[in-house]
Amino acid sequence: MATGAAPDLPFGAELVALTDALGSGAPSDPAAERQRLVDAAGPEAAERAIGVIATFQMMNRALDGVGAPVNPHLHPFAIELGFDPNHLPR
Amino acid sequence: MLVDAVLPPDPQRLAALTRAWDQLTAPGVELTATERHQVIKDARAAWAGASQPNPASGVAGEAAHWVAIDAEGLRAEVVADFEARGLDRWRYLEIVGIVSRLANVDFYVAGLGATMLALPAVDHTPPTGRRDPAAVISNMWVPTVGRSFAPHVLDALPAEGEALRDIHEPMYVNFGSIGDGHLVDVLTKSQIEFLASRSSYLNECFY
Repeated sequence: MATGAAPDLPFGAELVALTDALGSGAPSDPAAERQRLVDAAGPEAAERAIGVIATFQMMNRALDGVGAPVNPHLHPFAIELGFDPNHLPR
Repeated sequence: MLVDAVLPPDPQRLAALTRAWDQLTAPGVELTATERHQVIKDARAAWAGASQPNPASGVAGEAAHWVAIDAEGLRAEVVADFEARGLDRWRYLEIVGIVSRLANVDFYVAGLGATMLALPAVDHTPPTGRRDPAAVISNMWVPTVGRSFAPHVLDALPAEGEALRDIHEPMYVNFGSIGDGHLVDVLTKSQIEFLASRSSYLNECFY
């Protein structure tokens, strides 16, 4: 399970909890974490968040599955985050 | 579809999900509907806890299994080994597309607390065979049209690329708004990008 502080965003703690519950491993019902976000931000926000999480489950697999390179225009951000995108294992 | 969801789907996302499921379970470019259904079964088996690929599905089953649960662990030599054992790059690309979009469908359905979608009857129409004639292997392990980046990585098989974008936009943001940091719908762009980056972090995806 990932660790770290919740982001300084509205409903940050609830967004982290839902992402980690739904997005770690296999698709499974994140009932408790979904309800926390519904209670905090409303059902529309929770549904929207689930859509974003689901689509990045797709994009992560598509990009890793084809051996996609990091787009050159994002290289400066990668360097800032501490890794060289030209030396990722692939 | 999703009639038992705890949280009701947005109508646009439900429509995109329905189109994605219809496309996933229909005959493809390289694969028959029977073969695509098997890819779906093998990916779901991996998610359900199968530690090894289904031996009855051969190399295609290995690809489906590892794309489902360990895409970040794939390497150029693994895909080359698949090819050496009979899974060519075009069929491999279609499997990546199927498992990826299936992930969008199944994670969304699970997230809403609904029952997983059941496979329909098999359509025995032959695969289309429609490849982009300009596609070659350049900056990836699979054929691409030019030096391709997301969300065009499947475009050597045009129907697969179009299907990816067709679900990607309603689930994430319209492509014209990706760079708009001030976008707000029911979430802010900062919240949306946090969800995206956290998901990628969990999957160890750097792209």
